Amino acid sequence: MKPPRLPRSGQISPAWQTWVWQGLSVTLPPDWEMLQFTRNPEVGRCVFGDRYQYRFELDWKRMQAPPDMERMVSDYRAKLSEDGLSDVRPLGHSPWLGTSGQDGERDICRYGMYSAESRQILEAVFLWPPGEKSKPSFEGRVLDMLRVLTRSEDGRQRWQAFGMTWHVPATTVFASCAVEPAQAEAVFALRNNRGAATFARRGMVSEWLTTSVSEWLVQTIPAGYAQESVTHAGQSGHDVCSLVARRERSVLKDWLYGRRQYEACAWICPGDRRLYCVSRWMHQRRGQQAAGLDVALSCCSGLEVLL
Amino acid sequence: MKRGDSAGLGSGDWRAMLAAYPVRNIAAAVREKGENTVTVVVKTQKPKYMVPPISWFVPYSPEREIDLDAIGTRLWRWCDGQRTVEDVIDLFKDTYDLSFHEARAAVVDYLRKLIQRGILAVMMAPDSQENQAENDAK
Repeated sequence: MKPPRLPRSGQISPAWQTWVWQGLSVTLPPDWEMLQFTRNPEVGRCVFGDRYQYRFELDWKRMQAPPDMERMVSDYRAKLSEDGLSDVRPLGHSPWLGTSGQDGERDICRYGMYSAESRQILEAVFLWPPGEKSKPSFEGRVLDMLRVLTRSEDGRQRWQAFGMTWHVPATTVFASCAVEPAQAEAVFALRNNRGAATFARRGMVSEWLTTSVSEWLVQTIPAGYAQESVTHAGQSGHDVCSLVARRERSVLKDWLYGRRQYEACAWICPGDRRLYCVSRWMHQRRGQQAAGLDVALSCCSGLEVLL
Repeated sequence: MKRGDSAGLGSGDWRAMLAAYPVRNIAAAVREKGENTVTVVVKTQKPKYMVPPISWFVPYSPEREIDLDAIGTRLWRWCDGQRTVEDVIDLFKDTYDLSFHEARAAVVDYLRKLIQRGILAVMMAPDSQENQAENDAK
């Protein structure tokens, strides 16, 4: 297997791919894909692999107070030795404190740091292929590009994974995420259960899409909602189809309990020929503004669709 | 979701799986159904319990027909005993514009189903068999 190409110093190669998950941004070689993830923002991990094995793991844990990192890493080092890791040695790449060791034929390098900004302990683990020596310069490059993202001024949080970039209000809860072959879908819900937004990307379109995108979009209207409008707009070479539907209920019930509206946009990106869809439903009580659920989905640098 | 776990990537290294050769069951008969689809017919072994009086009431067919859809037929044709699982995944990836692991999850899941139905088998690559033997010896 060819080793991944390193970007030049001070420059991120466009071939490398950035992933943003739970406010953590990491840039990795293009053939590394996210194979495991956690939805919990307090404690969790993402695991990336190349075509042959797991290569990189990013763990996070929210802390109440700053920990004594040096002591923690030293204790951890002792524990790794006890667990059977051989040739355990300290590593460093400021501000990261690291440890390397050998598990059989494999080099494993672990780096940890405390981010005061997000009050998280971060751990980056590099899993090297059997017989291949660890490359500190490669690890340093990945660590230098690993960032804790601050929320934007309008309180939105950016996510970038599985070929999509999406923005959601930071107040939403990451409700679910399903990733299957040629299909990825992430759902974010408001805490009071007054709305939810879904971001989806579907591949192999020629195999299953037998109608137009607008007809397909109409078929996705949830049960109990009636279509109000379907419109088309050309944006940067993309034909974006937008739909609005409203829950079918009597005027009296709407007046008493509030209204629910469903909105969705779908398009096929000419760049990768995949179908992208962003949708949301929101509850609006009588005399009140609809809950704030401003979301955006982007398939490529040329298009961002806002709802 | 843990995409790795869902496709049996628990060990963290799937080289041996990618180097294996999927081979067709030579005893299976293939019928062309349409332009892009086939039906594979495999003989079934009569279960030992299939004796009277059970066999009077429980139906038993000496053959089982498995209809493959267009994508399944394409995959079946690629499993010619010359291509490794990795080769089949690469073909699938390039044909349907998928990432490697999207294609890997789809192909491995489908091959697993074909193996369970007895129309396909997997032959381990010689070097991975040696590695396995070495590990067993250790």
